[in-house]
Amino acid sequence: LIFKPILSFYEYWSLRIVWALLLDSAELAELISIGHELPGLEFKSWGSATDARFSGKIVRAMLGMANRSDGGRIVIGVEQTPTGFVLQDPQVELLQTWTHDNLSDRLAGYADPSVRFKLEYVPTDASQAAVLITVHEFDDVPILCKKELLADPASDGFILKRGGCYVRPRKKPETSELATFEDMRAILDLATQKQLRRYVAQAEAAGLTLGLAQDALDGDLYRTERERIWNS
Amino acid sequence: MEQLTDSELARAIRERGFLTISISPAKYLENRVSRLTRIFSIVQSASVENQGWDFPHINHEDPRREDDWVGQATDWRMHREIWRMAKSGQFMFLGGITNDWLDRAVPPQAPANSVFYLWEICARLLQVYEFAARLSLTDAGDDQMSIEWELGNVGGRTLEVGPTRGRFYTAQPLSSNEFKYPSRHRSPDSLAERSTLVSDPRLYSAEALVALFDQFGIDIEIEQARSIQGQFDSISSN
Repeated sequence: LIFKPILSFYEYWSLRIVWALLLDSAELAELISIGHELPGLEFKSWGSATDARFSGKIVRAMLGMANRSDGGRIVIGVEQTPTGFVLQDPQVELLQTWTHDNLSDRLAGYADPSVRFKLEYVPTDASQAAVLITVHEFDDVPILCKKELLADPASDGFILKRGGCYVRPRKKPETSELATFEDMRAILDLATQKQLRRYVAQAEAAGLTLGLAQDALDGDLYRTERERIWNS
Repeated sequence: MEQLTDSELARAIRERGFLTISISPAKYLENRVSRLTRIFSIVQSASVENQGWDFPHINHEDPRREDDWVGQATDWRMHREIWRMAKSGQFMFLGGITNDWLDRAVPPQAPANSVFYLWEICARLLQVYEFAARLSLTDAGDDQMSIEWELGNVGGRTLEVGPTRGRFYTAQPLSSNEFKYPSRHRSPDSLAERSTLVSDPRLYSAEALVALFDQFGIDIEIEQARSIQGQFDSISSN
């Protein structure tokens, strides 16, 4: 990246460093203060990435996030209390188990196709830290689970089911197997739209014109409508 | 906190720094989208989440439904915004600049209304043009889309990266109290070809960012704007 001299070295690094190190912590505090989870946000209390069942629950949440528009985020190191969510004390030995490589390996055993994600440590203040996993929405087709993982005890069923398609239902911030036609339609719409966008982009790159160019914006009609609607 | 009517909320938003956005198909068709329920579902599915907040924000309340439009208003902490979408496919938005309302944050902080945070407008522009791209592929879309936005009550502000530090020392304060983009209404500048918008919405948001930097007396190129955007972006590339 080469900026013109007018954008100084300091300014460029301000951009990179401030966002990477400081804003996330403020943002995290704000997210926690909401007091509940969201379709694109899940909190988990501390656990180890080497614990198959705990990391299986993280994988399950990641599969659900990857199957929603714009993906989502999972924060490890936050516990639920009767009054809402709070940051837990840091557990360095657990935090150190959460590396991108560890999680990639775990995820690769269950996700098909693969899931893109970013793992960061969020410095919450001088003595606390949390793990933030940002999951991107799927690239081509929805993510399916390719291997099962039993709960402990096994009588509790499965954490992950082979062939399962995990989603984050709009009405409830939790990860569940695809069960309703609304969720099915949402994921199909998302996949269709991605294919359509890819086709349009390829047509654009090939110099094909899709549709006829129009003369001008019907600005006066829109302005009249806008003023009427804002005043109602 | 008392519940404001939409018009009271709109008035309150305009008292401090604010952003208005209008997105529409080029051609006006009064009943382009015939059903109100369909309008809400279009906006809901096209809404873009970035850095923890969606644009437009879809809250859990039932949308307001009138004869030919649907909309929602959100007044939560420093997030104060209203959106409406007409059957013609015209989407309109009015929202406060969030750092101007930090006195409503938890815990309250001093409003930062003498500065302009790059992170906020950058993340928002990415969302706006991605939202327009998604809209263009729905019943509310067309071969050409108009995307116009305006900042109000921003005169005299300096440009900073974010709330903690990172002032642009070479930037000049905004001389005008408002900034319209594109600057000439009804000009071809505001029209985006759907095929380009869908394949590269970031091109349009980068162009808008170049124009905004220009207001602060900083000359950057499109590729530099794209690089800056990359720092503020959690939207998946399509």
